[in-house]
Amino acid sequence: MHGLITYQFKSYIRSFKIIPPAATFLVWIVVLYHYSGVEILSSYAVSSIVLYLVTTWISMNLCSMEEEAEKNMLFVQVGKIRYLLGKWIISMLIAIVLMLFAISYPILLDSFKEAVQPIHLGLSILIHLLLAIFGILVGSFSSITSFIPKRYTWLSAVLIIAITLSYDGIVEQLSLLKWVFIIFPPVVNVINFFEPDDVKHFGKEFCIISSFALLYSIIAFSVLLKLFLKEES
Amino acid sequence: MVVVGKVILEASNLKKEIDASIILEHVSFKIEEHASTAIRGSNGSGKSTLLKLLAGIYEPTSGKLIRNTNRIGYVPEHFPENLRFKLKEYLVSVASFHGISETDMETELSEYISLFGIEPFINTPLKKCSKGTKQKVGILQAILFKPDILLLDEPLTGLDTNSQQNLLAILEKLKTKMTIIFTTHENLLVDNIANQILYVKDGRVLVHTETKSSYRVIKVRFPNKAFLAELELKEIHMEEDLAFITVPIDKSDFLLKELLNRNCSVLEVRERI
Repeated sequence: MHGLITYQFKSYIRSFKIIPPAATFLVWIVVLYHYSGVEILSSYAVSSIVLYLVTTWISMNLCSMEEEAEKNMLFVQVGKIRYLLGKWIISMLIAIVLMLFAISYPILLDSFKEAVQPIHLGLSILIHLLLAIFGILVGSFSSITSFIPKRYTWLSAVLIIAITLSYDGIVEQLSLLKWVFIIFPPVVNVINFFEPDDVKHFGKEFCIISSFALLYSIIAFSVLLKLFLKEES
Repeated sequence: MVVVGKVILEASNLKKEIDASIILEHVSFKIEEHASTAIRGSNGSGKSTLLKLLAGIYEPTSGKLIRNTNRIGYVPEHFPENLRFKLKEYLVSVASFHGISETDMETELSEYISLFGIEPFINTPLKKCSKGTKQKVGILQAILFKPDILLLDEPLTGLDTNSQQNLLAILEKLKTKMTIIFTTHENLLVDNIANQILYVKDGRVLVHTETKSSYRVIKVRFPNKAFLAELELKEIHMEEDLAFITVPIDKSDFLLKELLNRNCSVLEVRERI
């Protein structure tokens, strides 16, 4: 797997397709912490949402990187499952690097209004990782399934992102959609905990929501893998 | 078809649909270990689809395909244009997919690079390599990990005659070591490499023949072209001062005599399908 990841990573980096999403992310973080004295958790919530957008972008890039002949060769060389796992792992590794920047940048600049505690760090890592996973899921779904015609893949990704971020508002107006939207990543459910800048909110309910988010991700990855294998059969 | 050796691939009533149209159906055959099989048919007959099914790129819509090995190498018709690697770097990367380190395969890779005559290009970006070189890299990536089956999709497409001859020589060496299956329109490749043919027509494998030759291919160096026209040869392929002439076996001795009488050098005589 190491060889495949190195190959796909080199191929992605050398395509220069990483520059737009990475630059967008870096600029956004710099702008976000332009002012000092900001709240810790809500700032990390914002940077995790940006990571969600950027990881979707990156995973869409990665999933549509090879031309047909290269993809066919890779299928034979490493198998279809490892091919897709490689892309997910690279998306995650890039997301982790971006996450480390997003977490450490405000600390280094002393942008927060109070000192960062270990609990803040733990929660910020968790939220960034969860939203990066959601981004990979949305990007992969839009790129590898045939439900969406190729020319609408970006549009569908933007639509899913919009729905997942405005979930509360939509459900408030049309409560029936709550059940339809259960297929989308529970972004808002997790983010909402980070709005008040107080670690006291993170109790049993947060653990349940986080566990649900993880379970959702595991199921979604399995479903995506099956869809991919069906698509490429 | 009588199968005497170990069967390495077996297809039973295969059917393949793509976007609701039937590409292949009722496809059944067996391929022995170390056989060299040509898949022939007109454009759009389903040759490449059949090859991709054998490679595992596609799965059959119905029917059964048994591959008695996991070690399969696949060479696409067109080597990817946008690989962002240098030639040797790419091959080392592919070897690493199979857990072979650069150090472990250094000697072998050097041998292959020398055999394929691509030493001058090992540090050239693949994008800048010629089509012939890319085609060789395409074959190399497939044979690096010593597959039991090598699948090639139109391997001679777009190559000049020199590159075709080089590739042919390479495939002749490889066919003793592995099972080779290829799609082709070229008689040259069938004549030299194949010992059986699968004909694909309208999505069906119509004939599966063992190749017992009733023809001979005579390779000669000729002093001038003009007299070859006098011989009224039906199948002739010329490259510079070399000619590859295919004749029925019963007429080959007569033709050989004629060629020798006209100061041609007979370089090779072999049977063809």
